[in-house]
Amino acid sequence: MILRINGMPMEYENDLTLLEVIQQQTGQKQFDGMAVALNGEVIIRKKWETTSLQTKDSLEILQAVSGG
Amino acid sequence: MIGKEESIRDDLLRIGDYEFGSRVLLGTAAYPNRQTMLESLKVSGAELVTISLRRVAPNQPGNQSENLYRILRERGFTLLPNTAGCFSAREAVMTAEMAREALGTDLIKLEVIADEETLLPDPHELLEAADTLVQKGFTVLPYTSDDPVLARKLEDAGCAAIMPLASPIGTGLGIANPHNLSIIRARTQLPVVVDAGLGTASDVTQAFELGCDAVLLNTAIARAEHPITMASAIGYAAKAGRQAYLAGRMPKKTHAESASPLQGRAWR
Repeated sequence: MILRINGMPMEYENDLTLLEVIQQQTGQKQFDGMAVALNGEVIIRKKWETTSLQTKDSLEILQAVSGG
Repeated sequence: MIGKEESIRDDLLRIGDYEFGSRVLLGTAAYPNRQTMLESLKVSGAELVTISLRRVAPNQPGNQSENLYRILRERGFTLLPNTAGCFSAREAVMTAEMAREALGTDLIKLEVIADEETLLPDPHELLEAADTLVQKGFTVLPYTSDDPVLARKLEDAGCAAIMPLASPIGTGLGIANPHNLSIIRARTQLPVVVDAGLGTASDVTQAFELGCDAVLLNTAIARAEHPITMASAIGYAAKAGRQAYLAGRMPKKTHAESASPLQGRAWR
């Protein structure tokens, strides 16, 4: 399936959960200070494992960075 | 009078349901390096510090030890996420919701910028976003212009503080219109946090002497020649200005008046 992740088209195997895609995309196993929106809706952390994705879904994966 | 002076020593900043011993809020960006940033935060006495949310770079394993969220939380700071870089109410509301999920806080420094050249707030979009976020249960701290009318509308929308600029973001020009800040202070029940444009310690002192309740700085410290020393100076300036305000300054007079008694002078 083709997902749009942080504005970039990315190809992933079918049937991956949101959690699996985030793990693959970020290379991380812990997600402190991170949040995800799927098609413009925030998905809370505990729903990542049970959220399935479809081709053309759009993900924004954000994390805390320095700011003023 | 002693009772009142005692109460001055127990002088907390209250924003919504939150209380802070320090009246200095600091940004975490643009320092020469992270160690300087952390040391600056520490010596300023700041408790509430701002951060942003940005897209995660793909495949950066192992950077958890560098995780800013974790580092700041471990040091006991309260995090104030911002919506910097948002140009519409819709973007700002979405960013605030992401921040609440990422950081587990209802605090939000609401910035909705009109254009990249001035970085001035867009009043219409700001008010709309403030209204929406208050309804969604956020503790909203809006970064606003020094317009007393807009400040009043933000208060009516249910914001927890008013954060007027001293002068445009990153300029360090100090308080461009002290009269407007005085009007804002006089007309609101909310804490007034002067945000943006403060350049050095005397600007901070002036903000407090005008009756403002707190200051938010970033560039003034991060871009000082010696950031940690400037952070310390800002901490002292906030205390000095706040105490001077609470002390109640003497009335200004147009003619000289001796403090020493005129009665009983010699050789008269």
